[in-house]
Amino acid sequence: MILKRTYIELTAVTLIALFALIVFPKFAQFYTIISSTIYVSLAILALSLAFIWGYGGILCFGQAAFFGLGGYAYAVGAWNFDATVYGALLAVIVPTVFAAALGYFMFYGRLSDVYLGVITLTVTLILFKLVNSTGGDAYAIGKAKLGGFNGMPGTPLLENPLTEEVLSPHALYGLAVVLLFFSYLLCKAVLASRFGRVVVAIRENETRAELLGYDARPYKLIFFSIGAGLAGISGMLFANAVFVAPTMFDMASTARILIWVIVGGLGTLVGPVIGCISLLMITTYLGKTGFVDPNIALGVILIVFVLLVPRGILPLLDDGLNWVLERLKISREKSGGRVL
Amino acid sequence: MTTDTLLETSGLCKHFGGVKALDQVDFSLAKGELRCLIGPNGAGKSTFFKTVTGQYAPTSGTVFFKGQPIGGLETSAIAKRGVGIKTQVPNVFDGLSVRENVWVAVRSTKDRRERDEIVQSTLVRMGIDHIANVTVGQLAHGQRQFVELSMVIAEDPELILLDEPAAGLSSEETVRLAEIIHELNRDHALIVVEHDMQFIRMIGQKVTVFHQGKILVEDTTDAILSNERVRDVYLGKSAA
Ligand SMILES: Nc1ncnc2c1ncn2[C@@H]1O[C@H](COP(=O)(O)OP(=O)(O)OP(=O)(O)O)[C@@H](O)[C@H]1O
Ligand SMILES: [Mg+2]
Repeated sequence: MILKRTYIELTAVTLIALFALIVFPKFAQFYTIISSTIYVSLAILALSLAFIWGYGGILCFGQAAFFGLGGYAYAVGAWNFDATVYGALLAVIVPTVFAAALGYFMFYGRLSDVYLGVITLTVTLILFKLVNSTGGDAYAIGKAKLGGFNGMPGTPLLENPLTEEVLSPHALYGLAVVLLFFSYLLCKAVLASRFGRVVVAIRENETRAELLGYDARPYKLIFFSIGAGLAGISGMLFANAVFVAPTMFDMASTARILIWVIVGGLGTLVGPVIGCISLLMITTYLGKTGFVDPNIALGVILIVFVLLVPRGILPLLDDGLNWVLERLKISREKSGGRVL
Repeated sequence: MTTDTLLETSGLCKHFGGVKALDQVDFSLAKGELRCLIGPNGAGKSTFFKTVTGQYAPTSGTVFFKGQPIGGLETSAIAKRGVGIKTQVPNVFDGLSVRENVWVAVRSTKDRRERDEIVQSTLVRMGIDHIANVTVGQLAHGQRQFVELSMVIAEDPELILLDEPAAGLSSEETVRLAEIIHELNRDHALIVVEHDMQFIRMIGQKVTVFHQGKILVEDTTDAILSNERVRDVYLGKSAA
């Protein structure tokens, strides 16, 4: 039963990814491709929190920090290295290492969940302040001027390492879709592994896991660091689709990741991706029409979901589907038809 | 300490503020032994288990397991050395299925097939294979007890600690539990905390009586049941 569900989910995700990669660009307008690239990049960020919070039980307010670090690491690398692809590597390595160091103190210090939340949020806001105050020529890493609150527009874009040509907007969009897809597969693979199953067990009952001989600390640390690496990939794509700026680290950036996950469905991977993309579409639309302030709308949506649909969109869809299937089954039984 | 000793504590103390939950406990268990631990509420039985498993660090005193000091080690490190426990309040993975619970407990092998086999045979042995795919959080208390026991069995530790395993079980389940304990005792050492005197009789063997954090007396079941001091502190109110 569980296996069957996994196959259904994998097939659906693969089909959607293929559609997004091949069919969608054929009829989408240029502008749509550009905004879709941003949505898909941020969907990886949603996925990263869905992964560590939903499965590891680690409520981290620091995904924005890893996202921002990934973006800035890319930008600094892209300015300094001959090939921008090394910047992309840095974008994964820097947040992962940073998370491993931070996580070491948090997990090996056995901080409670509340403190973990407070610390990750504080670190994010400190980074925001720090990056925000790097205006002026004095703040540069090699050739990369950090630019303070202006961020780093004009950062060299990703190149195809083989042809050394800068990626076109379409190619960047394709890359984002592929990276989202592989990030999703990575999460699935980790969760299906022995390591991943132990992480979930630790989330369920850490005492029991330790009494069975599993040291929870390294498990959580590695899991947390993987989540940070994914957020870094998201930051790298964002740096290419838009440009890096301190707002990547700010409170609004932190909060919306949580909202995507809650609205999409905590404890699933696909839900938060859906939550992220649909909420971004809504807020972009509202921002354009100027009808209501997007942040207020986001807040209202969050409250509605927490109160009325606390499990999120995906579990709701799932229940709906099951309900329909049940009905079909019953009506077939009544008419004497074969039951599935 | 002889080479036959599996677990030994000396001068073991655990204090909570002014409460001496364990007060100079000198305890010794031989390899392969089955021991019952009894004592009134608050006597320190669970605290003794928690100190041995590393959930509490001893205030003072030493704990030796297989000749090695384990006092103050990480819980997981002590478990890895071969101490398994069924806690008084069931400690299970509520959100996972029965099968997944037992699966996590198997640490002895990395081989997928072997692991699945151990899981399956444990489920069958414990008579819970028919609920293998049920989420543990949905089970009744007695079934959860059996799930936790299955985990300890699948873990296959050299020393098994059972803290009130018969609590909440039906009388048939209790009889079954006593059988399982005897079976386990063929190749494991066990310490069983229990309140129910009928159950203690079923298990037989040697009994240690805790009282106010100290060992009051240690003797055979029959001798304990007729011991005046034990009656005074404990049996006087609860035993038939
Ligand atoms: N974490 C703790 N903090 C403070 N006091 C504690 C703690 N754990 C146990 N105690 C105290 O230590 C004493 C021994 O408790 P313990 O749970 O070991 O008793 P027990 O013999 O297992 O009793 P029961 O038969 O009720 O399970 C009690 O007085 C209890 O209140
Ligand atoms: Mg107790």
